[in-house]
Parts: sequence; C-alpha cells; structure tokens
Amino acid sequence: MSNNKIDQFFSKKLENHSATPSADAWSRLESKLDKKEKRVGMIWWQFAAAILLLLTIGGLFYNSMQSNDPANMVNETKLLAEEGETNNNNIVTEEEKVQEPEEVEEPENLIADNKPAVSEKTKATVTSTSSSNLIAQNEAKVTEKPIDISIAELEKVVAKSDLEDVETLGLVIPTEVVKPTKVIQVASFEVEIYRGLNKPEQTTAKTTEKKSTFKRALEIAMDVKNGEIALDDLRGLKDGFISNLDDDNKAERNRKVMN
Amino acid sequence: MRLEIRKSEQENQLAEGCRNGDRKSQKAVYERYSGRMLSLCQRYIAQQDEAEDIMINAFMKIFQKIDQYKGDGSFEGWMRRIVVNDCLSHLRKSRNMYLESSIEKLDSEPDLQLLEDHLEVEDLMSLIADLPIGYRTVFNLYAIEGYSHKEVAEALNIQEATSKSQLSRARVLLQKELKRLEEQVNIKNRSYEQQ
Repeated sequence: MSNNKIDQFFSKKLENHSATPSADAWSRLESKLDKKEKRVGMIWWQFAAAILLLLTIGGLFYNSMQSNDPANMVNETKLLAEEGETNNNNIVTEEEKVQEPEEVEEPENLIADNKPAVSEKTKATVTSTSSSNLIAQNEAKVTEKPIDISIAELEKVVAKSDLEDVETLGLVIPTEVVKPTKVIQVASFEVEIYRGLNKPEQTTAKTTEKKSTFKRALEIAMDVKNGEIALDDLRGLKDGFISNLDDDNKAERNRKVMN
Repeated sequence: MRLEIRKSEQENQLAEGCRNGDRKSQKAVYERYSGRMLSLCQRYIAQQDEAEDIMINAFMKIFQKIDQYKGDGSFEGWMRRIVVNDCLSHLRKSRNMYLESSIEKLDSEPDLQLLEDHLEVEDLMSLIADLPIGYRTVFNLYAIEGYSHKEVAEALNIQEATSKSQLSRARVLLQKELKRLEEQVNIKNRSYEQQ
C-alpha cells in the first residue's frame, strides 16, 4: 500500500467500491457460458470422430501391410488357429486379405499374389489337428467364400481369355473343396487344391500344363494321405508349382503392359 | 476475525462449485463479485458499456480457468488479477498511451479531510476516468491495486521509470482536480453559512 496521501485517499474509497451491472449482464454471461459448453461438447465429438476415423484408416492400412508381409500373415493365422477358435470376424478379415491382392494389378503384387494360398495352408494344417466338428464348421465357412470368389473371377478371366480349359478346371474342383467331409479328411492338402484353384485363373498360355501339374499334385496328395510317400515330395511339387505361377503372372503382366 | 474466516470458507465453497461447473455456484459468484469487478473495470475503462463487456468476458475466463485457482490466497484477489489483466489487454489496443506532457506542480495541497466528507465515490470515479489513459492505468495499478512499479512495468510492458513518471503526473493532475473540488465545496459551505 502506497504511503502517498493522494493514493490512500483514492484507494480507501475505491478499493471495495461496487458498481451495479446492467440487468441483462448475467443473462449475457450465461448465454456465453452455454455456448462455450456446447462448443466444448462439439469439439469432444469431433475429436472422438477424428480418432475413430484414424483408427479405421490405421486398421485398414495395418491389415493391408500385414497381407503384404508373408511372415506376419503366417504368424497371425497360426496364432488364430492355436487359439482354437475361428470366429466369423476373423474369417471375414482373412477373406478380405485373400481378396485384396487379387484385385490390385500392380507389379508389386507379383509377390503378394502368393499370400492367400500361404494363409490358407497354415490355417488348414492347424485346423486339421482340432476336433472334427469344429473343422467341418469352420472350414465350410472359410472355404465357401473364397471359392465363390475364385469362380466369379474365373468367369471373368474366362470371358477375357476365351479359354474353356480354365472354366472346366475352375468349376470342377471347387465342388470338391466345398464338401466339409472332404475338407476334414484332406485338410492339409486341400489347400494345395485351393491354391491350384486360385492361381491358374490369371494365366492363359500354360493352362494345360498347369492342369497336369495340378492333377499330379492331387495324386501325390492322395498318396501322402494314404501314407505312401512323404509330405516333402508334395512340398517340392508345390514350390515348383508356385514358381511356375509366378513366371506365368509375370508374363501375363508384361503382356498387359505391352498392350 | 471470525467474519474473515467465514468469508473465506464461503469463497472456497463457491470456488469448488464453480470448479464442478455448477451453474448455481457460478451465479452466486457473479452476484457476489460482479459489482466490485465492474467498478474495477470502470476505473480502467471510461466507457460504461465497454467496461461491462470486459467484466462479462473476465467472468467467462474466471469460470474457465477456475482449475488454476488452487485455494491459496483469496478467491477475490485471484479474480481481481484476471479482471485487471483483461482491462490491460483491452487498453493495450489504444496507442500513445503514455503522455509525457509537462505538468506544473501545485503551490498548495488540497484538504483531503474536508474532501473525504464531501465527495462521493462517484466523484472520485469520474476524476480517475478523466485522466489520460496512461496516467489512469498506472495510478490504478499502483495506488489502488497495490502493484509495485516493477509489476506495473511488467504488466504494461514499459520501463519502471515510465511507470514512476506516469504515476507522479497522475497524482499531480488528481491533486489539481481535488483542489478545484475543494474550492467548490468551500463556496457551497460559505453560501450555506450565509443562509
């Protein structure tokens, strides 16, 4: 507090002086407070919406990243199978994964194209060790959709390439796969069939050769099933088959680029 | 003393209510302090409607920043700081705030004892309102709010020397005005005696 007389004279009288606000001052303040509260609420909603959007985009991005990375894919599907439960959601996401690489026609997908087959393989292998009822149920769900896709796409490709071989190949085998009992029994190489289904659809030149490769694979698979030969032989064949497919895909794409 | 304790208890309760965003507590705080805060604003800002706008906005800020009031020191003191700062940031918009015109010293000082009996608060308010902005602001901060020259200089972003010179000029102007009022009072008194 100042010692000055003038200062004290004024402060004594003015320090605690009270003026009268106009009658509507409180209602003006109140409406401002209401507006502010509303705006804060809005901001929270917008914030929540933004977070949700980011999570969705992030999730989609993450999923596509994973389906581009074979190691992750295998690990994930193994984990899923180990948990012993293949709920509908998981199936849906995996179906998405299966579909995605097929739809994109960029050169990078040469590698990605093989992913669906890999995932299916691991799934089938693991599920074959679980109880048969569960497998029948799950496999029915899992295989149903992809086969629809492959048929649909086969038809597309056939229409494009005018190759009747592909059509017969595509339409005969899925019916075998769809049967749940068959799936249970030959779960471990059903995948190979499935791979065979998925891949030749994109090729046009070597379909006949592929058909024979496929049939050979089927025969060997039956042998493996009956315990006549070792699984390694089938694997070797499978690897050869995949590399064949890759070459075909490359050739196919190169041709498209040229055109 | 007992009254002081009860007062601060009430303050704390109101502050707590405001912290929870309770509209009743906010209204109670407004009703209790708006008059004093408006008077404070009017000392800094001469226009009545402007002063009230600033008071309302300052209350908005008080309710928004209530979490920053930790309960140490008086609630009213904390609010006054916010209101003063709002007045200052409003004044900062005006240019050439700090006049350095020369003011001649007075020969004699006004009779403050006599004036205190005869002058109303409103008279003093209008004396302050008539001061040039720079003088008025420094005088308000230093003489009434009790800021030091250092605090005034920081709040107004000026030199301490400027704060001091503005204050002394403000005092001289106020003394002049008080002297004039004193003469009016004396004239009034003489005419009253003659009757």
